[in-house]
Amino acid sequence: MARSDSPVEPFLERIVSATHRRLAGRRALLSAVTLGLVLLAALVSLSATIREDLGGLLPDDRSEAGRNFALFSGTPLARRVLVSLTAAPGAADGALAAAADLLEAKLVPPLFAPPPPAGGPTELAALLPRALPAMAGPEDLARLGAFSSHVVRERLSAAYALLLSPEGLGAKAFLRADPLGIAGPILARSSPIGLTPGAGSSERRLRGPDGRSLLLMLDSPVPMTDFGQARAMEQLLQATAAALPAGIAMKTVSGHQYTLANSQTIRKDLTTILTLSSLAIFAIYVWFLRTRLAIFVFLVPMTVLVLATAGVSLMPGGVFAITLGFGGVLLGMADEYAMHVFFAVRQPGVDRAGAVGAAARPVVMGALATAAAFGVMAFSSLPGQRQLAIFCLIGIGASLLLSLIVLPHLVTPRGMTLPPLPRAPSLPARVVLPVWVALVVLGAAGATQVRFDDSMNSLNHVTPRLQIAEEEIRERWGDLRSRAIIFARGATFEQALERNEAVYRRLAGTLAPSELLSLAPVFPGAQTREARRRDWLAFWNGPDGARLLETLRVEGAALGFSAGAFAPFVEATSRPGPAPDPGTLRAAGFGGIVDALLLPGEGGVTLLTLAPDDGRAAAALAGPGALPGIAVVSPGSFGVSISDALHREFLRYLVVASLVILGVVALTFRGAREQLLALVPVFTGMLFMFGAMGAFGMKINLFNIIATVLIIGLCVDYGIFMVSHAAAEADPATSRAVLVSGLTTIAGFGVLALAKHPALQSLGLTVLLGFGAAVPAALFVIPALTRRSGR
Amino acid sequence: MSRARWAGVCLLLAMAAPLRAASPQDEVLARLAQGGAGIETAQGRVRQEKRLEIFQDTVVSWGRFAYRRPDRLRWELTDPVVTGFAITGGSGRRWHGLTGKTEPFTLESDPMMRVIAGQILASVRADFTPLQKEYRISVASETPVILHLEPRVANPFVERVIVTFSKGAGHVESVAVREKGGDQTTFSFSDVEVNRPLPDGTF
Repeated sequence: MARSDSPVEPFLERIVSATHRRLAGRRALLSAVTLGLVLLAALVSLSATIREDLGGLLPDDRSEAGRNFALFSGTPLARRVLVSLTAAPGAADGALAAAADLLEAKLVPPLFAPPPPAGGPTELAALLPRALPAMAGPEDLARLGAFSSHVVRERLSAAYALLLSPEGLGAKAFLRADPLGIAGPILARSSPIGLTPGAGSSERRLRGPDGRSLLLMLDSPVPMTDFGQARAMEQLLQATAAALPAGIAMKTVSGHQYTLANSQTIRKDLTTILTLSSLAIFAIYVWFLRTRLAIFVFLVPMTVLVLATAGVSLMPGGVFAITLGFGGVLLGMADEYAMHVFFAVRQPGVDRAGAVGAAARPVVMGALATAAAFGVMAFSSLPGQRQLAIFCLIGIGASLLLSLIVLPHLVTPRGMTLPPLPRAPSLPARVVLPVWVALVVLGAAGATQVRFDDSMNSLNHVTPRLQIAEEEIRERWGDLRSRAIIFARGATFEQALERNEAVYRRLAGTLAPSELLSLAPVFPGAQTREARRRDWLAFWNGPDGARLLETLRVEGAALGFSAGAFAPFVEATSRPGPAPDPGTLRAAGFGGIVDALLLPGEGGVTLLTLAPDDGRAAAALAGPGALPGIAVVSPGSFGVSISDALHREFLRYLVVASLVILGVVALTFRGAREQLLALVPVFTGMLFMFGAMGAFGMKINLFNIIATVLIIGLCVDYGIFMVSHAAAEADPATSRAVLVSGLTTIAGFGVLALAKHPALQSLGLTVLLGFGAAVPAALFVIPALTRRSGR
Repeated sequence: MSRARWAGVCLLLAMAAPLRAASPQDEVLARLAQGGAGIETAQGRVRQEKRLEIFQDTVVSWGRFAYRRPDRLRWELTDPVVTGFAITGGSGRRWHGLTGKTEPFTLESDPMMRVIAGQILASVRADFTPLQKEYRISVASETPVILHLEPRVANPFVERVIVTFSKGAGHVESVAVREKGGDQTTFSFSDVEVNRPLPDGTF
């Protein structure tokens, strides 16, 4: 067996051998203490608060991606549920409205937001005398100044006819407040969809021109990423859908449904994967270990799972379900220490304490390298990855202790005659090395083609039902869910108004007013409001205004209108009311839009502007003279910022993990040749994985980063094990340990390739590629290179 | 009161409920509905009288209406302005003489038209039971039948609707819509013909 001159070797070997001797004959005690610890850990685990939201996979740092996610998640738009109703040809008249009424009656707090307060023409009429002076700009006043008596007569005639028509009942108050129709053009340019007065719930409804379809827009206080409540929302939606009138079909789309679809698929996948991988691993154990005592090796990862779960349960903030799922898979593969010790102590005729001591050095150094690689994830911007890192660190520590201290006593009963181990597989260097070199060259070529995923599709499992609903709603109602959101934040409400107005002015230079949804035209900053009020009074006190008022009086009287017919309007021309506030806008039936665009919060107020998500808004705001307190969040560019964040995170992992394992390898082996040899599996695995990904057009996503960490962390162990026993061909224990633990890892992760969730599938495929190359490299290339250099 | 006594009172009330006699009001409404059930078509002249604060004087308009069971209605004014609408089921068209435009609409998308059409349909059918969800209906007089309809939920427009039937209660003679603030619109129906054929294309 080849030995290095590492300074840690004698110390470790002595300590571990001495511990083994001291505990010899105390198998029952060891078993009892271990069992007690596991039971205690199980009790602690049961008390854990499991978080089923996906917050663990969203950045919580100050990066652009993190900020964007936080901002977007805080908007009501992110929590909006779109319900599309379609009436079949034979459906009864009114069935569509009855269905919408039923949905509004059933989809109520706490899972859904209450409808905005009802408003109507009367409330809107009450708003106009306050709103017109604050909304009418110079262009509106100039237009009014050009009104001839003919135009006034025309408008009043139309008002007269309207009052006599059936609709006159509702229009009367509105006509008294705005007989000349000033508000129409102002409201029209204020918003394309939102600022039309609605009678309560009708503001949440869009109707198809054919009268056979209706879109209901419901808000919810439930965060988009909350899996548990998203499930309750879906159950309520399904139950309500079942009670709809005959002939009415319902389709729904929301961020919650994406959360639910992903979480449910991941859960199902993990259940299948854990079962199948456990069976596959157990079968490998039975085949290669060929003793009933192998059950103890199998139990090591299982025990470690319980201990690691208990460890993270003690952390504040709860345990992410995703941590348990992935951690389970990751630690299930970390059986190599147990395997190494098992094969070391079961060699016929060896001193078992000495064998455990000899195995300690590569096992401890390997664990150190793996822990270091996983430890890098502790600095991730994703809370779920940080928790996963801690979970794995606890697991690796526990696995190391169990493998070196407890396991050797359980798998080597006193007086038992151990059968000889079969020889490890071996291939001649003249075959191995050319194949390896060819793979390395091809891998390097392919690796240059690999790209980062900027579409988030790899993280998203979209069910066929959701896809159909999304397409139908987009086709019928337009792309309601993809809009750039501009956040204008102020320490006070007034400051937010000023910044929001500045945003609107800047955007109005690039985008048409009808493309923008903003409160700014109706609700500008104090300075503009005051200026408009001054202009308004100056106009009506001036010659044009006075003439217009006189024409209104004369033409009105000629048509039969009473002297006080337009009193609210005339009053507003001389004594305009205060500019409308959010309360009056809500009362006038604009509650839905006000609440969607105004976000009160601690320490300030944020106003939103919605614009088409085509990059024009971001470009207009990014120019010289950047506005303070402004942030642009574009769902379309989420992918870009995520890709940037992934890129940075990935490079950080790669650099730091590489440096750390280089350090551990340097600490383990002093010779440069041995150090390089120990890195062969990692190098080969990574290069082959990226090469194949590049060649097959697979992109790097969040889950591939975990795969990279796994390959770096586990494959370096194989290198350390094999180089520690340079004459591995003559040392079947080491090569057997590497082969079996490599096979269990490949089997475990290979099952992931069967997953339905694209992210898990991608993780499985990449790990399969990496380990598929790293394990043969450890088993064949290291011995071949050793033989060649030793020749 | 003890729990047992409460239970006893509740039991008595529950037993008494089915035995409650139909009120005179229910009887009148049922009689009207029964009479309305025989109406297959109806047509006639309409006189609309608007006494509104916004006008100097009372404004009188004239027009016509036509109805065919179950849900077809044409309502139009022809003098002094031309305006009206025609519906079949939940959708229809409306026109304004001043603009010369005709536009389609649905009752679902126009709450105001839904209310107006609902009231007119109830009037021409002489059946007010469908309106009981939205209005408290009381019988102010039995001969001739006069109904008072008050919105169950505060309504920004309508304070009270007064429906007066012809002496034989065969059809509605007038409907007065009284608004908050004192404005009132009264529709009077004359030359009403019931179950006479209507020309095609009326609706």
